[in-house]
Amino acid sequence: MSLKDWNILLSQLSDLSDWLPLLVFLTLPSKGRKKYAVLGVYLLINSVLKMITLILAARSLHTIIVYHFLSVIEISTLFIFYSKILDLKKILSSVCLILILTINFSNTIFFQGIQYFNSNAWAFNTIILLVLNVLYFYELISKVENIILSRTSLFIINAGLLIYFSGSFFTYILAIDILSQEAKGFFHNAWIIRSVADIVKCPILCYGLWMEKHN
Amino acid sequence: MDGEAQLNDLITLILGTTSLIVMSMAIIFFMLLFQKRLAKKQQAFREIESLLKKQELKTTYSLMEGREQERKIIAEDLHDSLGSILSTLRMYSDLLAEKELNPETKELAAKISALTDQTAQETRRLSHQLDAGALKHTGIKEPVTQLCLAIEEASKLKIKTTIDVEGNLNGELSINLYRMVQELFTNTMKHARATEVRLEITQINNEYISLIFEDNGVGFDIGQKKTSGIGLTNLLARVERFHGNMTVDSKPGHGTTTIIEIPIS
Repeated sequence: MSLKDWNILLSQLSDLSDWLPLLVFLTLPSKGRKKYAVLGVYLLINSVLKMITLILAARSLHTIIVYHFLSVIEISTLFIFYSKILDLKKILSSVCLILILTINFSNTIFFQGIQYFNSNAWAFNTIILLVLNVLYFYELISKVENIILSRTSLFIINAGLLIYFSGSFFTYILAIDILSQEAKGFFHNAWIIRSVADIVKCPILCYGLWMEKHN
Repeated sequence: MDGEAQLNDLITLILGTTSLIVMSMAIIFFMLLFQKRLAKKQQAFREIESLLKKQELKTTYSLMEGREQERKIIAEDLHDSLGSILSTLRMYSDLLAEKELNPETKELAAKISALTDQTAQETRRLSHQLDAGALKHTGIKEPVTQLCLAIEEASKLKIKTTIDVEGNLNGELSINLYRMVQELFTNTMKHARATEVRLEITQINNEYISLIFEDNGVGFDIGQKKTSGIGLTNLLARVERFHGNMTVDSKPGHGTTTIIEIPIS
């Protein structure tokens, strides 16, 4: 199998991988589902939209437009998820979210356009989520004494998300060049790095949610 | 996009992604290690605390044992020394009453005799109360019943007592059980404002003694009340001394139940 084949295979696997944590989420008891409701919404919409990209790709149709929606959904749901975890003030988090969405839409409408991959928005969103993720770990340090981290679902889920964000950040920054027709060699298939980060994220999320179920 | 620019981008991509992932992993492992170390420290602190607590209880028990010895000496002195003096006094006052004297002196002699009798009885009672060592010979049932009767007479408490103990228990255990019952009654009378008490002392299969003490008093919030009161500490020290365990169950307005289990061996 060539690198290109691996790239396509892993990309498709990454598009399908979100179903796995979604299934685990659905098996959670009502208390757990309530706790991770926003994450559940993220997984559900993500899985459906990524499935749509697969169908569109199979019919040789343009998939980029779905990625514009996907970026907005990802940042909205995960931002709300972190706002709740970090107990941010509602006004502050609402203003921040509106600002972030405005930047996303502005990028789609005025800068990169809907026909091109919105790499700026993805990279910007990933920075925000990386910061929120690290903030969660920082906050956890203060109360870490009373919990066993390796059994704490939220810690495991955040570890999975952190690996996904850090693994895909540079791919998003360079996505326009990677996805262009001019890219050659490994660089042409560099999307594989993001796919792997996305795939690695899913079993970790599954384990975190499973921990929630068994704790 | 020329080849060199692509190569630079590729290097940036690989190095950037690798360093970010390494940093993320470092954060995760740091947190796990940090928490493990903290957990270890906490465990060590808990062990030290538990040791200190045990040491404190041992010290408390030693103090109480010392007090018990003092009481015993005072009780013996009261019984032997004062008791014999009073007996002699009674004998003399009886002799005096038998002599040919005027009626007033005779009456006085009879009064002295009666008072001496009363004082001797009181001394004996005090001496027995102080010297629980007598329990070694009498067993637990009789003294506890007497104690309950005395408390019922002196206070408004209604006491329902059930004592089911076969034979004589080990002397030290009997003394401590008796003192525990005394301590429990003291606590109830001091704080509980109870009207009824149920006391059950049962020997189960020659394996352990179960003591249930229940009052219908005001109770207290176990979560808020510090269990460091002298009464409770003394009780706990006695229980710990015999490797027993004590459970206190109480709610405001619902009375208090104390269950103590002590292995007989």
